Amino acid sequence: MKTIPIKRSYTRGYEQNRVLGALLPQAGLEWVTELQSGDATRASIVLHISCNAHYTLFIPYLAQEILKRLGKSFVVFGGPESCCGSRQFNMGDPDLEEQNAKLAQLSFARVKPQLLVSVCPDCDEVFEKFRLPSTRYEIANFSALLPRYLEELKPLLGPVKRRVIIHHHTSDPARIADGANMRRVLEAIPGLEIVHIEDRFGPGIHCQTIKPMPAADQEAMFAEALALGADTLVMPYHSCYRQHLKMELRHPVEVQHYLGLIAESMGIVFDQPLKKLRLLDDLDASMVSLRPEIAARGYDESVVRSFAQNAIYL
Amino acid sequence: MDTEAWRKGCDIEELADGARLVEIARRKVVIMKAGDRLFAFNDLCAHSGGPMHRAEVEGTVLTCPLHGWRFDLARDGEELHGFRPLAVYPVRQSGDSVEVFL
Ligand code: FES
Repeated sequence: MKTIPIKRSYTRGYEQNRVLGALLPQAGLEWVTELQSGDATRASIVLHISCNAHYTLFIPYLAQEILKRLGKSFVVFGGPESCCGSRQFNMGDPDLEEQNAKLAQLSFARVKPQLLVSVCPDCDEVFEKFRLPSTRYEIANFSALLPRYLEELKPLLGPVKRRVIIHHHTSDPARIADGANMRRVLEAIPGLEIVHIEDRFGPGIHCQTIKPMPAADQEAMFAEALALGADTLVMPYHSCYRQHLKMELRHPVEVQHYLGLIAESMGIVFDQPLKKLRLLDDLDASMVSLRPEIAARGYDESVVRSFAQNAIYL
Repeated sequence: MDTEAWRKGCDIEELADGARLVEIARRKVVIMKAGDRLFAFNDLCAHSGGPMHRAEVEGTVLTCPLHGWRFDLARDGEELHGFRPLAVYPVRQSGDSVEVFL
């Protein structure tokens, strides 16, 4: 067999997910990273936490809490152990992307779900691309779930006094549907005023990582929000939230994930540690605030610093 | 199942520029030289069978390319986050050959 090169570099991202996930934890998020065959767990819904959602664990936490209050049977599953494979694709390894996508689907199948929901558009896309015929469950973005339960959800929604603009993506029908689903649920929140704008959509399937929204477009989006009297820009995905939240430093407009608004309406309390760090606007100060936990966990501070630079301060 | 024995994996000179993926007793095994130490380990990651011959290598630590589990060969394949260890096998040089006990 052939000789193998001994140096590769595409797995660093998982370490970044794990380390920052541990440093920015979400109390109350009850998730498993693996289910063994023969495990007795059964659930009609698998709520999948993608790798990069580890930086903003309040998002899957809110999805979990909403499902709980709706009385649904579900299991929260995720972490790098069930990565969809988009990372391998982005690093130029499409064969490993496919292998990962299929392994993840097989692991979800162990709880015999009817539905796999994700909060990440990359995961949705990759799982559809490498759909295993043997898995019978439906795959959907979490935003598609809530309109189905809207009549059950409505009595749980209290008033939210905000004037919001919805940021969304229009690269393909699935992302357009996410935007429409998000809007439908937000429209059900009493007191929430949604300001309609035509073109405040981001590039590609989400902002931030591979294709960030250009700075000029970002500025224009916030300027328009202000001009229209909006106090909140609503984000469909964790990646958009991560790219745009630094704009709060210069504009009196709050950047919030749509599940954050639904949670507010339902009285679910949550914290946003990544936003707190980013709004310090000072990597050194962020490291100081993380230092006790870094020491407690025995992490190398210079490594954590480079992770924070990558994931929080880029 | 075959009786365990020392079996030839490859020639020592084949490890000069990296590692070798070989089949021994119907098992895929990776043989690798790190510094002056020889290691042999299962090509299937202990997590979900990811291809360890495509692992990232830093000294004696291997990172699986699928989900980033990290195994230290110098510590019998221990997983550094506390997950399951990688199967490592006894290995030795015998003349110009590298042998694995399998
Ligand atoms: S298969 Fe190796 S870490 Fe998952």
